[in-house]
Amino acid sequence: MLFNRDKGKRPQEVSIRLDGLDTLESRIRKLEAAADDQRAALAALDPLGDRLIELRMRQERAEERARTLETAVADTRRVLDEQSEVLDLVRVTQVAERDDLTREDFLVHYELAQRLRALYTQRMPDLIQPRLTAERPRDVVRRQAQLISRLCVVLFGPDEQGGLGEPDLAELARIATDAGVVGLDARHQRLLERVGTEAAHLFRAMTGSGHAGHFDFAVEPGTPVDSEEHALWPSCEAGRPVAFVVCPGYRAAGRRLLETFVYTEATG
Amino acid sequence: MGSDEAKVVAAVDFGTHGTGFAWTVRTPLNDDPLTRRIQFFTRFPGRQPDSPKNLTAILVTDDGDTVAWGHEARARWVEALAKGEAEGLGYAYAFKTALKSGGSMADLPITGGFVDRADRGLIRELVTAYLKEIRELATAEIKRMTYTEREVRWCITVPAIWDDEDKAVLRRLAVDAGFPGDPERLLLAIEPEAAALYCHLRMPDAGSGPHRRARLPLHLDGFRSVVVDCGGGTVDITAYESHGDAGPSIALREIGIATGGWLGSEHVNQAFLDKTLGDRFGPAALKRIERDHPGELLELSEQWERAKATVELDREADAVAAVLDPVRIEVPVTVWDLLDEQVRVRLTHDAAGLPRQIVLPPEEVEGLLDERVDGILDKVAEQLAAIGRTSAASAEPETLVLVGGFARSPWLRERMRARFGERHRILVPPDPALAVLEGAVHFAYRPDVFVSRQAKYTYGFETAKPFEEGVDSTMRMYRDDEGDLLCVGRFGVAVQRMDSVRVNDAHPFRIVPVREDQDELDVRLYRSAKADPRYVDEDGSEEIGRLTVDLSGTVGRPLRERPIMLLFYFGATELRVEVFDPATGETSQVSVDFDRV
Ligand SMILES: Nc1ncnc2c1ncn2[C@@H]1O[C@H](COP(=O)(O)OP(=O)(O)O)[C@@H](O)[C@H]1O
Ligand SMILES: [Mg+2]
Repeated sequence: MLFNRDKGKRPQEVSIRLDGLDTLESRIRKLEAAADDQRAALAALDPLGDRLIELRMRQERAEERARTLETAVADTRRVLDEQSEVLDLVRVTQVAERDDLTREDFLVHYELAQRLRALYTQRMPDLIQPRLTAERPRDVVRRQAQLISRLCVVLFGPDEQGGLGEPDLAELARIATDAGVVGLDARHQRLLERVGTEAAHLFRAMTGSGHAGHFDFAVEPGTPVDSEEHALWPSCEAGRPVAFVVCPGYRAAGRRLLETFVYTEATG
Repeated sequence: MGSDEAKVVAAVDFGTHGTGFAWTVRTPLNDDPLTRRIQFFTRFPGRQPDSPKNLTAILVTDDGDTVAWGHEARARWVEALAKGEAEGLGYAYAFKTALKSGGSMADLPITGGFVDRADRGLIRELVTAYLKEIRELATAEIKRMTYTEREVRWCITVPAIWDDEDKAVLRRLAVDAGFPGDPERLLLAIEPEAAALYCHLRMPDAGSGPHRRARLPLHLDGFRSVVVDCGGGTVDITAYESHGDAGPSIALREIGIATGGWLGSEHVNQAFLDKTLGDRFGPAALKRIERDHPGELLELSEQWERAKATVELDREADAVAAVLDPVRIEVPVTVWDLLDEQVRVRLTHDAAGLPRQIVLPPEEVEGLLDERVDGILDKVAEQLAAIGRTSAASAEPETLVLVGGFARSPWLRERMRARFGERHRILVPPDPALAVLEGAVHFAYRPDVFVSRQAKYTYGFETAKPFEEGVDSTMRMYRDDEGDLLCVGRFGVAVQRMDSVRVNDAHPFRIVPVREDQDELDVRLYRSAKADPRYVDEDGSEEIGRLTVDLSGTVGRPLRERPIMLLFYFGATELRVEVFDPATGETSQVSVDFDRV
């Protein structure tokens, strides 16, 4: 029974062992193949090793170059920074010095010009109205322009041809009242004072602004009216040559801020 | 270029009536705002004498070419009308007001030719065309000083009542006009904030000047100010409260709701035409002049404009102030010749014998100004009452800050003083007409000067949240890929109305896609006037824009591994959104598209 049993088992064991041998053999073959591969790899290693060394050297050289470049770049950047600092300073100075730019402190001149215009075209006509009414001239427009022209000269005129002289307030009153002949009511009396104060105030502001101000009285009689430079005095006829200047133009720092008001003779 | 390398900062005050440009150089010499030197552009084409603002008007051909802009556009348009050569031309003035979404337009903007003021597409093109002109002029001036365009940081002003959509539209139009697309290089400044900043930075401390001229103390905790910007077209009223914890910076909270109205100074000019001229010439003659002599009408209106700007007041102590002088207006010959003989005789008589003149007695001048001044005072009173309800009884009365061109008017100031001066300090900066423009330059110089603002709305977006039985309607029910029951259409609040939002603070919000294969997430942005809205479609909630988030990098992963963070920045002048994807660790800017709504 035992034999039988063993006998029955035996071929199985053998075949297992044989299988084992087969496996071993194939493993050996695999190992051999791997060894071949390794050998081939080892054979290939020599030239590869050279290349590795070469690559490493190249890398080192490149790094060295990079370091040199970096130093150079840093140097250049320093120079550039210095230069751009200089450039900035130059530009800042330029901006500060250009007189074709409008800085905040100049803006006051626009307002002064606006007030000057109001003085010319609103307050002065109002101021001389009592005298105009008293005189009953044949040509009211012309007479009004003449009187206002005289007011402008005493207020802004002196320093012959457009300098800034102190306003002559006594003379202002003489013109407005025709040397006391025309009486002023309370409102006009007050207006007379206000016009004087305003002129003095404008004068101070213009001269004290730090920008050279200038009044333009100079227009040759007979020149054609130039709409860029001149404004027609109210109720004057267009398309006629200049007869005389009513109110001076105003410039500051070379810029024209108010046109010169001119009177033109009516046709016929 | 990082914005901090900007060498020049330049601001454009794009106003309803007038537009100006000013700039300064960023240099240590200019770092102190008190002594900072600013250049104003004054030499606009076709305008003599020059001035710091140009008219916000444009004349274009129907091919879209700009013929002229500013005062020149108005002059050329009027000339074309007079000569009957207006065919193919379009004119627009004060068109900025037509940009505002849902804004009413009253009698402004004024358009002519083929321009239809209800045509928003065209109005937007005009804005671009106008901004292009001012940008080119500004750039030319800056380049003349040998700065390059890349060295400039720009700032454009916007009204306080504009919402995020309006601002986004303006930004886009500005970029179309050639301004930089980088938001760091093109800032938007809120007009009343800019004006307040100017009054804070540029006016002397209390000690160094008379009381009225002392600076606006925006650094004091709890300080309240009401900026009344009286321009040409509108008067805008905005109230602020300051927080004192902002160190060298300023933290402002808007209190009350900005209001305003068509109360600007141009309407006074309109009243001059309608009343003064209408009464004297007769309505029929005025109609004819409008039709046949637009140039002369413009001349009349410009004379009035100049007279209006130089009105003087009687300031006798304890007497009610009064306008002192009459106003004289010269009537152009062609108009004079049109008038009836009796009219001419009467006018000449009224002008004490001077022909071709109109004389307005002082009371008439007051009446014309009061056409709008009455309305302004009422609006200010209204705003003061509204914010008064929210302040402690012991609080200091608000300081009123008057800016804008109309604030130059002594009549307006005087009436303000008479009505509010006893209780409130009234501050008018040296040149109120340029306060916004100059303030915008200072803002652009140091944009971090403002550190916080208050959210006007609750902002958030549409999201799905766990379904709540008995609260949410089953109509809103939705089952996601993981089987969870959700309620869609919920309002995910990112920032709540009235929260003080700091400029640089991100308000993060986490969202998760609902399907595994989803490669994109469309986020709809909503706002609500309620503090805690539940749904995006309930009353008071409105969609303001959309943004799309790219999710393609995490497609197929379980939903729980795909959360996305949205970072909202509400405190800056405009709403800004960033997306942070924890899966990739990347942050990207997304732009909110306000037009897809
Ligand atoms: N002294 C003044 N009195 C009344 N109105 C004035 C005065 N000075 C300027 N304005 C008006 O101010 C307006 C322009 O103001 P601004 O603030 O520049 O306008 P906006 O901001 O609306 O473009 C114009 O309508 C002009 O008539
Ligand atoms: Mg404005």
